[in-house]
Amino acid sequence: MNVPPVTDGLWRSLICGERKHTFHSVGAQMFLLRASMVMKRNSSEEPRLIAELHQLFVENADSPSMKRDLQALLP
Amino acid sequence: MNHSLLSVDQTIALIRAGKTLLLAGEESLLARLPAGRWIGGTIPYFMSEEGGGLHRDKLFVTELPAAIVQEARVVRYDADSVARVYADAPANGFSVILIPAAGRTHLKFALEAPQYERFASRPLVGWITGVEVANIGKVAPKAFDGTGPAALADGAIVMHVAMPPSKVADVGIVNIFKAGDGDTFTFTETGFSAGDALVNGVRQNLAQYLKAKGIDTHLPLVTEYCGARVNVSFQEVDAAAGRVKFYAPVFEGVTYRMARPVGDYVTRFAEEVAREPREAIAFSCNCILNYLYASLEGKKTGQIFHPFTFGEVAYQLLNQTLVYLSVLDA
Repeated sequence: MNVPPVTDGLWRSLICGERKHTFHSVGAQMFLLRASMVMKRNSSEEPRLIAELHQLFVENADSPSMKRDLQALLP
Repeated sequence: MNHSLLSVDQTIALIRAGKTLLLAGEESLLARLPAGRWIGGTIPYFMSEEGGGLHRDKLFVTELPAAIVQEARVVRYDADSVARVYADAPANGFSVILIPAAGRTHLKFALEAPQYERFASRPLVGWITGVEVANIGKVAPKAFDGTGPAALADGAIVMHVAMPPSKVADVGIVNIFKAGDGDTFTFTETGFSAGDALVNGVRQNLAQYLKAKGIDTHLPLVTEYCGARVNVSFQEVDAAAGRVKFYAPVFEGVTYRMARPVGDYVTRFAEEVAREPREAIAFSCNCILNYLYASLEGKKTGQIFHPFTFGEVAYQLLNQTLVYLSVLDA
C-alpha cells in the first residue's frame, strides 16, 4: 500500500490533532496517544513526531489494520 | 494456532521436538523444563476450552507454528536495557515480552515505554507475570528464559520472532470498557499512585472523592484518543491516608473518566470476543482483574484461550483488557 511522503500534510494534521480518526491499528493508536501527551508539553517536538509517525506507517503498511487506516485516511 | 493445557511431560516432549513455545504456569512446573526454544511466565489462571480456571498442575502452552517462525531469538533485558526492546525487534515479525510483576523493570516499562526508541514501530505483545492470588506478596512472580533455562524475578524476557515475508502480524485489543460521560480526572504527576487529582479541573483528594461518591473501583479509569482506549485499574483506595494506588500509571496531563458500567460482564465479553478473527490468533492474554471481578472461574467467554495476567502489553502496559496477536498471510 502506498504511504504518502513525510511532507504530506496528513501527518502533521494527525500529530497536531487537527485530523480526527479512529484508528484500527493499535500501534498507531498508542503512538498518537503518546504524541498527544508530548505535544501538550512541548510543541517543538512536532517535526520529530511527524517523522516517527510516517516511519511507523511505512514499516507496517502491510498489516491489515494499517491498510484499513490508510484507505480511510487517503483521499 | 495451538493453545493447550498440558502436563509437564507433554510440554517437555514439545520442547525436545524443537517447537517454539510460549508458556505460562506455576514456577515449580516451569522450573522442571529442559532448555529449548521457549519463554515462560508464572501464573496459574487460564482460560481454556474448559472455561476459566486455576491450574496448579498444568502449563498453558502456545505453540508458534514453524510456518510463521523464521527465527526466534530470546533476549534478557534489565530495567535499563529494556528500552531497546523496540529497536531490537525484527523488521517483519513480532516480539513477546514477559515481565515479572512489581520488579523495577515492570515499573520502568510501565512509566517509560512510550518514550523508548522506536516505540510502537514493531508489534510488541506480552504480559506481566504473577502468582496465585493467595500468594501475592509471599511469592515473587518470575519470567523464564527457556534457552538457559533461567528464571528472573526482575527484568524482561523477550522472544523476538522474525517471520517469512509471506506473513504479517497485527495486534488487537478487546476492551469492554468505554469512558463514561461523568467527571474528568487529570493528574499533575505521572505515577502508580495519586493523592490529589484535578476533578473537572478542580484539585481534590482523589481517594476521598471516590469514597464520597461511592464509585465502583472495579471499573477502571479510561482515556480515549484516536481509537485507543487505555484503562488504568484501581489497586487500593485509602481514604484515611488520602492515597489511591493503581495497577498501571496515570500519566500527567492525560484526561481520564470512569468507565461506564458494563452490565453482564460475561455476556458482554463473549460478544466482544466473538467479533475477533480468532483463527489467526497466535498469542493472547487477559487481565486477572477480569477473571476476578467477573468471576470467570468455570465460565467460558468464547474461543480465545489465554493465561490471565497481572498486566497486559500491547506496545505499552495495559489493564483490564484482552490483548492478542494475529498472524495472517501478507
